[in-house]
Amino acid sequence: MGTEKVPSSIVHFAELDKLLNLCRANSLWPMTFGLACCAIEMMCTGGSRFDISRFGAEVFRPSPRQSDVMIVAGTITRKMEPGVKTLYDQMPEPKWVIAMGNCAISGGPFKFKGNYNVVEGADQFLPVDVYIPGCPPRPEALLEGIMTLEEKITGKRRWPRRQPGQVTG
Amino acid sequence: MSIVEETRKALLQLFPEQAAAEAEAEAAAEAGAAAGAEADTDATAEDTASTEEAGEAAGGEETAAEPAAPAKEEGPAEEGPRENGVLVTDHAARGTHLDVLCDPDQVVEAAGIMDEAGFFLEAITGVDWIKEDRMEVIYDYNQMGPDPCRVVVRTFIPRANPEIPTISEIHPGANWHERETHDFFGIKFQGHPYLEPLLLPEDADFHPLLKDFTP
Repeated sequence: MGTEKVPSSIVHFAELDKLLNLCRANSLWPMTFGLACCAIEMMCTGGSRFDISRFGAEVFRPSPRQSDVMIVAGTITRKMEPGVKTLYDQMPEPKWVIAMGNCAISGGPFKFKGNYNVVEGADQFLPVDVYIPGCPPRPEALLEGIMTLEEKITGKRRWPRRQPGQVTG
Repeated sequence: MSIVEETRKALLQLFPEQAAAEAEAEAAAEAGAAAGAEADTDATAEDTASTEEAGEAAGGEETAAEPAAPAKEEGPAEEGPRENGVLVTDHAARGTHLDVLCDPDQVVEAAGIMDEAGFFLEAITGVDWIKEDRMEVIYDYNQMGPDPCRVVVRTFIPRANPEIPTISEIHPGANWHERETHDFFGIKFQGHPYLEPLLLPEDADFHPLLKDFTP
């Protein structure tokens, strides 16, 4: 494949990609996929105190066809695994997956020698982009996960990372 | 009569021997009432010590009722297997007001009695007594209201062939509880309309809560 020098004033491919990524990152529409207790924290994040709407993500779509990111919030049982895979396959590109909570990361408290029904982590069968540890993670942790996903998509972080002991304002 | 007492009387239909023994004990107590106040406390079984003394003093009828009368009290350290019957238990200590041990073919009748008494089914579960080579099926019934009452009905079935009639005709909520118990213990509920796995995958052929299960 040869290269051709295109005058940069005519075509700005890179800029469009950046713009598209910025748009995608700032309006991630999650799919409501609360499987267990982490769903409660996800609901709290959607409420007014923690407000996921600030990040453009308050429209939780019930249909996978209309959503960008699947927040796997909760335990995946072997009975539910085909359902999760089907819903992931039904999401249109570009799509991302956030594994929220210890169960979605690695099976969490159910990863023990006698485990008979829990899939040990969403990454056993899905490509996970962001892991949010916690049992359940606080709403602020979920927001940090959304910001991390935005950073992964755009390359830049929306707000600077807070240092411990830093006073706001 | 309190709810606990009424339900206990209703459940005694399942156990004619215990009912007869208690009727004898009451009759004997009334006959002995002329003898003194001890017989009154004997009939109500409030004071354990005087019950035992008066039981021996009252005569032959009392001693015949003795083996069944202790079913009314909660013995602290009972030896030997428990007999079929209705026990009154301390709700603060055990969580139930009544504890019923019956045969597997009596559970449907017990479920009918509880339904008519206004109780709802809380849970059905199993216990795998592998060392005794049998399984226990436990039914929890509850009745909230101004006077709450919790009743547990237990029964033992052989471990090699665990089968028990379904109560889902009487309590439709038992449908899912029995499916779950079948999932985890392999207990077959005869007459159940749809005994498919509820929590385990549809093609599961293992029963995880058995004591000899290895994943």
